[in-house]
Amino acid sequence: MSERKIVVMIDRAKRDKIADIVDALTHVGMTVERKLDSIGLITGHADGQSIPELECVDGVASLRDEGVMYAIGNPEE
Amino acid sequence: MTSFNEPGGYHSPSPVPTGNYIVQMRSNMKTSSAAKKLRSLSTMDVAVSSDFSASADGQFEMPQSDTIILFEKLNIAVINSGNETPATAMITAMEADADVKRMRPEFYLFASNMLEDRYAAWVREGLHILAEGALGIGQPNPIAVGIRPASENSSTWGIQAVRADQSTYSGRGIKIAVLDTGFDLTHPDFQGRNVTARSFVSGETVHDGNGHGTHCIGTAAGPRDAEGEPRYGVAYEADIYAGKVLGNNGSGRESDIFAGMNWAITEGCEVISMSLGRPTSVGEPFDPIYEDIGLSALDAGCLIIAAAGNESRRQFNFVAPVGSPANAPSIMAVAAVDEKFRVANFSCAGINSGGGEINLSAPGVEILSSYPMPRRHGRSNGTSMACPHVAGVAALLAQSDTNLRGTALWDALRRSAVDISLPIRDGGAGLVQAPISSSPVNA
Repeated sequence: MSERKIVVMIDRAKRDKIADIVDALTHVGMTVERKLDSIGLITGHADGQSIPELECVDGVASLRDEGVMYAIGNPEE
Repeated sequence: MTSFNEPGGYHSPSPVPTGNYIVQMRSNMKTSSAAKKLRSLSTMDVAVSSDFSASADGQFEMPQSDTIILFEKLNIAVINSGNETPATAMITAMEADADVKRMRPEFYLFASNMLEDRYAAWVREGLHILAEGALGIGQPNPIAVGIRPASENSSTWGIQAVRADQSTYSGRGIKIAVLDTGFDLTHPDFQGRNVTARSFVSGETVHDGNGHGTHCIGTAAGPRDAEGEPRYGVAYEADIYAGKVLGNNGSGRESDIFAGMNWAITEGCEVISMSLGRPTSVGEPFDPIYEDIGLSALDAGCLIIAAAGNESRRQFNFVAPVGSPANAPSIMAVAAVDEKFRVANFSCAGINSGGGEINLSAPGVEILSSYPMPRRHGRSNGTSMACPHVAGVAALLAQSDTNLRGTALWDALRRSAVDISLPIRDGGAGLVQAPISSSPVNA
């Protein structure tokens, strides 16, 4: 399987343990790019095969692929 | 008119025509007469929907391409031309016929292309068109309040419409983050201002190589005195936090956007303006991640304001739902109006419930603001331009009362709004208004 860019949301109750959760995710195979304390998110990438294991890490509320957003550009009128 | 697709060439994804056409027949027309008329105007077969509604297993059986399907309960027909565009001569003849009330291209509304979904979409659109006719939605709205500006001599129409030119507040001491394509730090209109800038986009400096970010920052926090131009900035003394989360091509990775939001909250910004997003489908729920971030921000005393999206094409009676992240309940969604306070043709609407509503309206047509040098200034259209008007007013309110933070600031913005006779679906609580000292907003 190929690398996937992922966003991990941390349980609200466990946000003070975000550094430990980063360690646990790294241990299971995620390459963490950013730890975003104020909003309780961790972003990075991982092999698709490791996703089920990452989802089971204690403190992970949800995990999904990273998407793309756009400048809300000039409408074509 | 300024067009942001010049330098980088971007657009938020536009509605994609399916190739089919939707035809609304004259009201009260008998099904048999409507079918006969459609046959006379085309070379295609005309099928009435009740003739092929469901097979034994309950699945909707689609007729072949090159068929016109008449929904007799709706008096609406769909020209099902498959992947071929229907003959122009046929479309022209139908448009000219007295029995045809309206017609327009059909657009893809759903990510799924399942046939049953298409059938459901056609029925829903038909009902929507009928409701519009009955309620008068889509007609020009009368100007509800007599505040339409006579000229832009001293301030843009947008500044006047939100009453910023009458406000005694300037946004001083308030931090506004604009998360977008960056900022032109060399712009002469912003020299001497408190600007903190940071790029979250790999390989790109904070410099705005697109124009969108500098335009949005100008509206939210541009100067009171712009040499040679009317005032175009709402919170002219606010501290500017320019977070580059979209590349010069106008698109961005969500992890960069999340990083920018995290930065703005950590820096203690009272307001985040996000003229970015992606379109949503009818029935699509909000993304729990953005809702969670919105709630974290409110807890931290920070209000996130987002553009509702530009995917509607109201001139064709196509109205698109509020995009993401503006559809998260804890993020404020802003629609765009023109100088006659009509909803802009492109402005998305509150079609989806559970956060997908429009919260407020603000000026978003023919908006003059800053543009990266050497161009200096330019005009543009979009809910992107409406969003920073609200962000600027939010900064004025936040300055007026230190208790107005987070949800209290949200409530104060909502209470500020004046009725401009727009349906709530299109305009939310109404047109946002800046605080003037004689009208306390925190009453």
